[in-house]
Amino acid sequence: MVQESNENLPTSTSAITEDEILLQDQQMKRIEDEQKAAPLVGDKSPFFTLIGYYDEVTSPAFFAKANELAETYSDIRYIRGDGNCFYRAVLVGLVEIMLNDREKLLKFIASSKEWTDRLVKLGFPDWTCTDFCEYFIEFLQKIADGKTKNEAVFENMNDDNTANYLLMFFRLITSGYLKGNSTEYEPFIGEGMPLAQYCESEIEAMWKEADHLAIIALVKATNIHLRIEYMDRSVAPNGGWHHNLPDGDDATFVPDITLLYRPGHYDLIYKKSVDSSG
Amino acid sequence: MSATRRLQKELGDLKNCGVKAYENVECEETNLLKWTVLLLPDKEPYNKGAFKVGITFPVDYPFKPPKVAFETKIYHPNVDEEGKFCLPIVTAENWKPATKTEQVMMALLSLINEPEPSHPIRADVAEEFQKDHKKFMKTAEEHTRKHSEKRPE
Repeated sequence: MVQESNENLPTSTSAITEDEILLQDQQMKRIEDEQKAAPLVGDKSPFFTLIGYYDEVTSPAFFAKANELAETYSDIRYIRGDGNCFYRAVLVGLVEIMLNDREKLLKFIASSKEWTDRLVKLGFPDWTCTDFCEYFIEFLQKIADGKTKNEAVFENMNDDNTANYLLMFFRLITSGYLKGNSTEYEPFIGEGMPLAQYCESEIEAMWKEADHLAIIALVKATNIHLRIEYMDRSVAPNGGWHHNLPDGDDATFVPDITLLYRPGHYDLIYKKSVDSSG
Repeated sequence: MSATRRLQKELGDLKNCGVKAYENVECEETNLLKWTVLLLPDKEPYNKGAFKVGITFPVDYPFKPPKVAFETKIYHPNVDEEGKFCLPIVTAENWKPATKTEQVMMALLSLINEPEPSHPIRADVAEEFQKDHKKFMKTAEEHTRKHSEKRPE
């Protein structure tokens, strides 16, 4: 018996963990510093700037794909790669739409209010969760009331404090959508992890990348049509390959927002308007 | 500062929550980011004393977790001599911005009430806890009497 319990008592546990924690902290700090060199949300830039990132000789697949996409897309808005990029890209895309469409703005304010109640009913911790919702609704309401001008909206989305609050709302409704439809989505979670646990550790925590399940959930929760253009090493068939969410035929699917996916990262991209494609 | 919005509300909540397990929630007059809470465990050998816990919130709270440590010495397998301990709910990896300080305090309280000798910070104390529980209880009680704060009436 005595020997058995000895196994549980590695004497150096605390030293190892503390060193590990310290090292982890330092690494995280370094990664954070690197990330902070880029803005959270970049200005709209010409799509061809993307081609410049790839060398024709050393990365021919990416180079070809970037060129191919440049025929369809005119602009790109680079989003900081900090694990929040999917949520942030959708946030910025949606806000841009709402800045130009008052009806959609008011509708989204109403649906955000509905989400607040729904989250509480789903058992999310009251007021810490609703605080994020209220902040988000306030942000939109100020746009609706003309209190925040367009430039200020982008300044807000580039301010860490404000942006984190807004992103958290998106993470919460993503999680809320999955929790509200758990029988449908639980089977997709690997290793028998309960859906609630998956939501809490992968979605409700900041700086965790969105996987396919989170992407579908946010699309459904916000009721948007999303197209994701994939850019990876696979040889792209003519016209590239992309994914419409919710599933839709290319012929009839009109995306509200289009994202460019490069391994591990999402940016916002914009289609050429008909008259400029000439 | 984004932390202010949230902390003012949390401070009020925690002060008025009526939970017997922690009292004297205070924050530094000039610094809303530094709190102390008096923790009142209800299990032996810690139920005779009160333990001051310091909470330091980062400026980007609630997006980063607070740092929590004991300011009162406590003889416990999961708390080191400097008052540090490992609480999963406040690690950078597990932290959720919607987590309230109240939940953190409850998690800490349950760790104090129910030590986890299989994940010790102080291996010697954990060993004593498992092999010579009587001795552990006696040492911890004495330690509590000597170092802990008075429980509020």
